[in-house]
This record gives sequence, structure tokens and C-alpha cells, in this order.
Amino acid sequence: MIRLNNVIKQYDNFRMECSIHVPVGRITGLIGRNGAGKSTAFKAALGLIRTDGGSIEIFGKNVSQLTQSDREQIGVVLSDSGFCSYLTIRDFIPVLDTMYADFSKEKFTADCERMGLPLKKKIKEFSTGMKRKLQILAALSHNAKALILDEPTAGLDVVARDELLGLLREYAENGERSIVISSHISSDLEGICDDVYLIDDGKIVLHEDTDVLLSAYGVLKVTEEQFRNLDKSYLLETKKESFGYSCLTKRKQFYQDNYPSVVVERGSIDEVITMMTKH
Amino acid sequence: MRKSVKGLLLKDIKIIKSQMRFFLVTMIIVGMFLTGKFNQTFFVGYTAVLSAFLLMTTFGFDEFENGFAFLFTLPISRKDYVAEKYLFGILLVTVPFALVSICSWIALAVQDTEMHFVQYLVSVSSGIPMAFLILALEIPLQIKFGQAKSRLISVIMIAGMTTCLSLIGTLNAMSVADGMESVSTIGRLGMGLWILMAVGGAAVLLFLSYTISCRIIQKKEF
Repeated sequence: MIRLNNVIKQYDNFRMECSIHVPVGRITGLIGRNGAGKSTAFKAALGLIRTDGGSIEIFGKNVSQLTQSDREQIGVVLSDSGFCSYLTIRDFIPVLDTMYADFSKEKFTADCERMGLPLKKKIKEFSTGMKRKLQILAALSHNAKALILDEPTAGLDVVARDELLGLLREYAENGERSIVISSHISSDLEGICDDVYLIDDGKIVLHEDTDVLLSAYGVLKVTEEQFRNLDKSYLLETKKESFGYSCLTKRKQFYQDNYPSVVVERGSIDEVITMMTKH
Repeated sequence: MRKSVKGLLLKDIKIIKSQMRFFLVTMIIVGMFLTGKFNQTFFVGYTAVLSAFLLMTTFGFDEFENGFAFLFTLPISRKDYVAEKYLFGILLVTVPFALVSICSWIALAVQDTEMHFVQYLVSVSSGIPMAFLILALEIPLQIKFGQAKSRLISVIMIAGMTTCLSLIGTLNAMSVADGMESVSTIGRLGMGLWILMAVGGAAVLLFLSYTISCRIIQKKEF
């Protein structure tokens, strides 16, 4: 449904070069540190920036060839941009109603009220969390087939985050919708994504199913001596520590079976980011 | 009308509505300031010019907090955005102008003026080509540089326009004050033709400006 094929974007001091594929019915996470290229990848996918190479397809069409009705099928949350904050939700309802054929005024209004978003208050008076909720509700309001969500949970408290992640899960349940989502809160992605891409310095350094990442990946905590005797065939990354080495592996079970004295910590997105990104 | 353009129009109308109090206060203050210096017809023309500048404030709201990026994730094309700005600009200039013209004519009629309606229409219409010219020059500037960067150029342009308007107003007042009624009438007949040509010229400029704006926006990154 969404495909970035070796997309290149060159800035003065930064080069993004990445390929991402989000199939129909999947929720795909994009993780990485600040400035790694997540927002650049999203903006490229949405045609907001020009690219210097590669191709971007949404619904099987080049992004520049998307028609107005194709674009109606895309719901978006951007981390650094949103509705004109001098207007109110009530002001925006007729705008969305005019632009989207499938916009449900009643549902959107009811959702806003349920989420505690005042309809008559100017958006600039909203908290960061409220603004984010509004963006998510707007993205979900017009029956989009593809959701592109850049840091949708930033600024939300735990309860609101859980509620919104629940909404996203529910949204993707019919199997015909795809979601690509970035977040710096790894637990959000672990709980919702089918697969994750790790981006670092503009490059995709890892792509893995979340289930595999959580079940098969692990971090070995080894002393210098243990490290010398370790079979390093399945180590993805090694980092020097005060006690010896931390080693990221995709074959946790192998080391648990063959090196019972070695401490093996459960794999998590946080661990993967820490081990696989440049410092 | 494309629903994307209609949606954008609705957005801009809401923005203008939210700023209406500020706009009306500005109109009244400047109007009061100018009343002593210029006649009623000048004030009507001035409405058109001020309305043209009002459109530029909508760019500021679109741009605020990187709003353009979100705007272009909606089902609109960049050309739709540009087309809507020109359409809204023309509506902003002509609708208030028509309303103020009618009100002003009624006021003049009550005062038992000897001015003929066509003569009146010709004398107030000078603001229209001026307003179209502002739209034609300002919209590409706003799209290219954004509101903050285009401010200096705008200030220079406003100063130029104001000087032109002042000259027209002063010449108009002088011709009447000197009792040159026949000269003034002939002048106004000629002026009618001149205004028609000016409106036509401004319309051509608007079209050229639209083409340029479309090219500029295609190259923009958000």
C-alpha cells in the first residue's frame, strides 16, 4: 500500500536513503532517534518535499500522480504541523466535511467530545496533548485506507495514549487498512506494530517483525573472558561496557542453550535502538 | 467548483471571520483619518485596496506553526491552493466593494447629490484595478517568501500604492474644488475608459501572476 523504493533526500549535512514497504493490513513502525530521518521519510511519502532519487508509491501509484480521491484515502498526523490554531474545531468541521466524501460529522463531533476536546475553543488554547488527539481523530474521521502518523502519541498522558492506540488497533482490524507510525515511545510500537523499521542517520539499519524482535532478539551481558570464548556468528552489534561487553543477538535461544552462565536480557525496541544506532 | 477549492474557501472565510473585528476597527480608524482629506468615493476605492491586503493575512495563518505541511496532506493539490487564493482574493475585493459602493450611493442619494450613478461608479472603481494589481504582485511574493520575508517588499509596495491613491484623490478633489465641472466630467468620461482598460490590464496581470504562483508553489518544500 505504501512503498518507498531507495528514496534519497540530500540536505547540506544529512542524507536520507531508505526503502520502506507497508503492505495492506499491516501496522508498521518507524523508529529512530531524533534527527534520524523519520519525519523526512514521512514528508517524502506525502510529497511534501522533493526527493533526489528513488520512487514513492501509495496505492500502487507514484505519489505525484495521486488524485484528489486517492488523497482522501490518506489520514495524516505530522509531528510539527497541524490545523490553523486560530480556528476552532467547529470552524474545521465544515472544511473537512467538504473535502472528504466519507467524513462523518456526527462521529467526529462525538469523538471530540468524548476525548474532552472543546468545539468552540481556539486550537491555540489547547494543550499539546489535546492538539495531538484532534489530529488523530481527524486522521481517523474519513475512513482512510492508509494512515501516516508521525509521533501521534507525543505529548499524551498514559491513559490517552492507551485509548488512542486502542483506536488505531481497532481501525486496522478489518485488514484492508495500513498504518505507518513513528514514535519515540517504544512501548507504543511494541504493543501495536506488526513490524518495525529502525532508521539511523537516514538509513534503514533494521527491519524486523515485532514478534521476532521481542521473542528472538536479546542482549548478552558478558565479561571480557566470556566474550573471548563466545561464538560471535549470531551477534549483530557489540558495545564495550565497564563490565565487559553488551552484545545484540537475533538468536537469543542459541546463547541461552550453549552459554548458560551468560546473562541474556530480553530484546526490546529500546535495546535495539541503543545497540544499533550511532552514538 | 472543485470541493478542495471550496473547502479551502471555507477555511479562509473562517479565518477572515475570526479577524473581522480587527478588520472593521482598521477600516473605521483609517476611514476617519481619511474622511477629512478625501471624498466619499475615495473611501469606497480604499475598501477594495484594504480588502486585497486582507487576503495576505490568510497566508500568515496558513504558514503559522508550519501549517502548510499539514494543509498539503489534505486532499488538495498545490494548484488548488493557488487557485483558491486568487479566487478568494477577487471575491474579497469585489464583494465588500460592491456592498460599500451601494451603501455609499444610497448615502449620496439621500444627500441629494447631482452626481449621476455611472459617473459615481466610474469614480469609485479606481480602487479595483489597484486592488487587483496588489493581488497580482503580492500573492506570488507571499508564496515564494512567506509572510515574514515578504513584509519589507510589501511595505514598499503599500507606500507606493498609497502615494498613487493619494495623488488620484488629490487630483480628483482639485478638479472639483476649482469649479471645473465640465473638465471634470470630460475627465471622468475619459477616466471611465481608463479604468476599464486598467481593470482589463489588471486581470491579465492576475492571470500571469497565477501562472507564476503555480510554478513557485510546485517547487516549494514543506
